[in-house]
Amino acid sequence: MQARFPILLGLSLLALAAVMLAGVLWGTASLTWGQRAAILTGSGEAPRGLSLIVWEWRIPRVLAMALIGAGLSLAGALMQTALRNPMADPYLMGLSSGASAAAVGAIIWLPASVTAVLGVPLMAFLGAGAAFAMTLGLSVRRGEALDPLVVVLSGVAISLMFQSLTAFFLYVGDPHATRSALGWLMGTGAGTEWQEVPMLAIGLLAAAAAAFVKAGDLDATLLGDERAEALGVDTGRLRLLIFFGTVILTGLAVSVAGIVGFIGLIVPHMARLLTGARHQRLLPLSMVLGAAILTAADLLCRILLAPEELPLGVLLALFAAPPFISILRGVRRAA
Amino acid sequence: MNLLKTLAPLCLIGCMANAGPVTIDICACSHTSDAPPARAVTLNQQPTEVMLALGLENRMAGTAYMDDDIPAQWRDAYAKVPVLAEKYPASEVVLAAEADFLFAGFSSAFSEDNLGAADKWRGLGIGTYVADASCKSFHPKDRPLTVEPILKDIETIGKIFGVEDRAAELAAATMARLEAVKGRAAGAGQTAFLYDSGDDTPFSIGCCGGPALVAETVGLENISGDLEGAWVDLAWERVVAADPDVIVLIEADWSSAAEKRAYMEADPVLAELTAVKEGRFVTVPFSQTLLGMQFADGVESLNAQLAALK
Repeated sequence: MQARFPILLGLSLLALAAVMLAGVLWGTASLTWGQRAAILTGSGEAPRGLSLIVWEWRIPRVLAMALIGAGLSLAGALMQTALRNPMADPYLMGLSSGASAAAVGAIIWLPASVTAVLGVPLMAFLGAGAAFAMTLGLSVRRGEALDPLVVVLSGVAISLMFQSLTAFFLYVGDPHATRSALGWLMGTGAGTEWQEVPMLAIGLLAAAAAAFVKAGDLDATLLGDERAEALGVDTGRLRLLIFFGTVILTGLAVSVAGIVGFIGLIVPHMARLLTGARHQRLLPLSMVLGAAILTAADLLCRILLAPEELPLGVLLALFAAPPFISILRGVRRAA
Repeated sequence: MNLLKTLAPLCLIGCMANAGPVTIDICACSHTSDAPPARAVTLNQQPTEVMLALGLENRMAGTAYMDDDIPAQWRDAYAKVPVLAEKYPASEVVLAAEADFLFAGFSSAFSEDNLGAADKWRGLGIGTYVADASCKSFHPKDRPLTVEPILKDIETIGKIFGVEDRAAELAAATMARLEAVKGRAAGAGQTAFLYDSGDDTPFSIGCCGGPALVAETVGLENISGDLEGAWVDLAWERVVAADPDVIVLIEADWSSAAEKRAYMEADPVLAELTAVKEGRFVTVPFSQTLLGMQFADGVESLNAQLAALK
């Protein structure tokens, strides 16, 4: 497996580059090859409208999808390690339901003038942060180590609470306003702007750098808390660090693209099957695969029903189920 | 859809057993009543306005779920009718109002989470009618609507309440107004993008709903007319690639025309559209895109705005 890793990573990077390029070249508006070349080289012959579509909409969208895919996969891999639970995903600590309740509430209740200033993205980020704080608050007992099981259960409780709040907002909302809230709940790459890309990139770089520095410690926690601590790892602190990293990665992703499901749950398992559980290899491969898969899914969402757009959630759920079932079978065989 | 089509005849046979004085076709089933209703309850805006336009406010026990203000000419009559709920009323509220007839604008009124099945109400001796345009088995989503449903609703309600003469007058007047606009359609030869709401992706119209019929009546060619359904979630790229001549903004509670125009003017790509640069925007209130009494108002106002643009 060790020898295979550079090849695997190289191939995944190639695939990522290919889907990103495809994401820029193809979309709802069809372009001729001549137009594509003229637009990308910036020569004056390209029609202005089409050139703006590529430079102002498609390129930031593709970059954001890659960064979000990488970020969610990283967060998922870290959460699975931190909680030693194969079902863990980035949204486990109530993040998605907190963000949903805040965003849907903002879309349906707040006047447009307020949401235009504050922004639904910021509300979603704050909602995710609030849910996280509540989950952590429920899980922490003074003088005791954080119990992964208690964290999971607290997350479930907080999620249920916020889900019922979201359901209430959707029920009382006007059907047309509800529609834009639903689009947000199922995740979409549409509407991504250049200004959103740098913050995604900074968040991902910071979290990835921290995770690589701690890769050895992460490996140790897989042996169990007692052995990890015997090896000098402060598991309680490491877990908190992972939780905070997850909030940043997931909160940013949610604020830009809404709730993008399954990537954070499935991709780390795929990477683990391909390269094993050592974090030094698992994390980079998860990130590249996650980026490639989400970028590809987003492209399909744009072209399958063109000129209508599909939400990401529809396709991801469809494509996530078969690999997940096969991964589950693999896990059971191993156990 | 196909299932509905196959079920409709079965249902008709089932309902035909109890023949009586007035029998009418309602969406997928027929309705029979012995005497004209005296305590009707209307749900949604269009039925309420049909009743008011026919001068039937004294035969109404209540109304519910308005989208918009009632037009000035019916406001005094409307003030006499009790408003039962802001949205769909609970079944108990309807029973407490001693309703003997329910007239809804959308079939969703009789879904399980709102008033419950229409059969159930008819079983209680309370007649039901759903506006023809929203009957999915009459209007499949790939066939464009015509103005026929407006006339059919007027005629049917006239028959049920025994005011056929008034109904015939109203139908003829409405038809005359629509024909007049068609005769001098100001949008002829122009393409249009219709914008209801949404910013990540614009919620726009397909081939076959009320708003598409408004656009068609004033001569506009819808840039997403090739898509099935009344409403579609379009991609912005389609709008830019089509570069429409006119942008029709829907004025609604959930999304005002001004905020949609501001959004398009602020977006670096959309701001470059010809219609945006030249300020070729026209507005139509949502309630005037539904096939009801305000439909002719919407068509006339849109036609006048388009004529003023030239």
